[in-house]
Amino acid sequence: MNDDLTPDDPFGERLAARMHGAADPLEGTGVTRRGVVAAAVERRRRQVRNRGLAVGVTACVAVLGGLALLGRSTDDGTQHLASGPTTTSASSSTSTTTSAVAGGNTATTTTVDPRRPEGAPEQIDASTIRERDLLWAVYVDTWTVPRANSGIATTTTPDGHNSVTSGEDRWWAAETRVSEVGYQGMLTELACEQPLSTEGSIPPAVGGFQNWAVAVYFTSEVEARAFAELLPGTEAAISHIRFTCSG
Amino acid sequence: MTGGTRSRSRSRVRVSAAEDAGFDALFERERSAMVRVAYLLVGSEQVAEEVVQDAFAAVYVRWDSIDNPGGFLRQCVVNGARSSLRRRSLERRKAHLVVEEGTAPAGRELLDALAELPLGWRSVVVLRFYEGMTQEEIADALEMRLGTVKSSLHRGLAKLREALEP
Repeated sequence: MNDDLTPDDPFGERLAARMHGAADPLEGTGVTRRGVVAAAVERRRRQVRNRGLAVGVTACVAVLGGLALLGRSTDDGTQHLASGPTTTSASSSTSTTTSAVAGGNTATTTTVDPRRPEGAPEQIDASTIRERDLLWAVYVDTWTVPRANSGIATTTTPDGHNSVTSGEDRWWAAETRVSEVGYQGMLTELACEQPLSTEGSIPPAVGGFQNWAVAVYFTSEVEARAFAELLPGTEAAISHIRFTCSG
Repeated sequence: MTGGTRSRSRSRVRVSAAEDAGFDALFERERSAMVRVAYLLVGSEQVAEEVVQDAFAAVYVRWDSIDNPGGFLRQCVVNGARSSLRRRSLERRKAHLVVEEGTAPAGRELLDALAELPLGWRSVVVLRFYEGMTQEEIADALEMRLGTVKSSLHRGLAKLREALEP
């Protein structure tokens, strides 16, 4: 490397000055914290989708391979005995899982640490998502929903009340707030013991939240946090919940 | 849903707590600088901001597992800029910069000259003369051999000198 190719070189100095003159006026105000979080969510979703695709392709290859082995085994009774049970077992396992999910999930254990608990996966793999057994929940404290944003003053509850004193009203305000914010990453189709906010049911009492909280479920911590950040001024807790299929 | 027992205990946590402070500090400290570097690489403020936003997103997702967030961020920006230019080169068969309307003549001349450089040379020159990185740091950031960095710098500068100060 020649010495004249350093910033001390007159041309290098002039070049550096021109670069600074061209670029330094930029402030990058188009890059926002919220935009970054949204991009992170999208990135994570893409990763999960790609992983799911890879798992699917792998499964297809495995099934095709199994079928090929079965095909060959018609000419070879020994191979049939060896490969048949394996294929049958995989297929049977998949069916059992599917029917269990269709039958609904039951929350049976809860991991306390709302950050990433030790041993918990950094992200959820495709099979986990398919089985809906590992979720992040955002609990929105109905006491801390900003009144100005909740629409509580003008919103009539399902029971026709306008009072802000009842738990139902607070929950309704929080639910309204969640609906206003909206978030495509939330899981609204999951059937579980603690109902989702969009189903209009009232979650059971939980320790830190007095009586009422709205629960919204996500498949990843990033998504849960991104959603929670869309509720400025609102107290929210994030829990890592493990669901198991009830069968 | 019916049936099933649940034992639940949770700790109440304020969202965006202490561990996010590190990311926020990095974001505030590096945002503008990274947009400027990306701008010199891709020649468009809008594309530069997209690249930097994606780079911060990559850092955000992997925050817990990276040792040097600043270095990782810079690497993501350079790689993102290169990916962006590659995508555009596929569309246009030519990896030239899109110099935005309204760019000052002096800035436009510089960006045009940078656009004439191959992507590798351009990245090396920008990191060396705008970011002030050493050749070794550039080699690390771009995962290049040191000899490649040196030759890219030499050739890139020679070509820029010819274009800007004939």
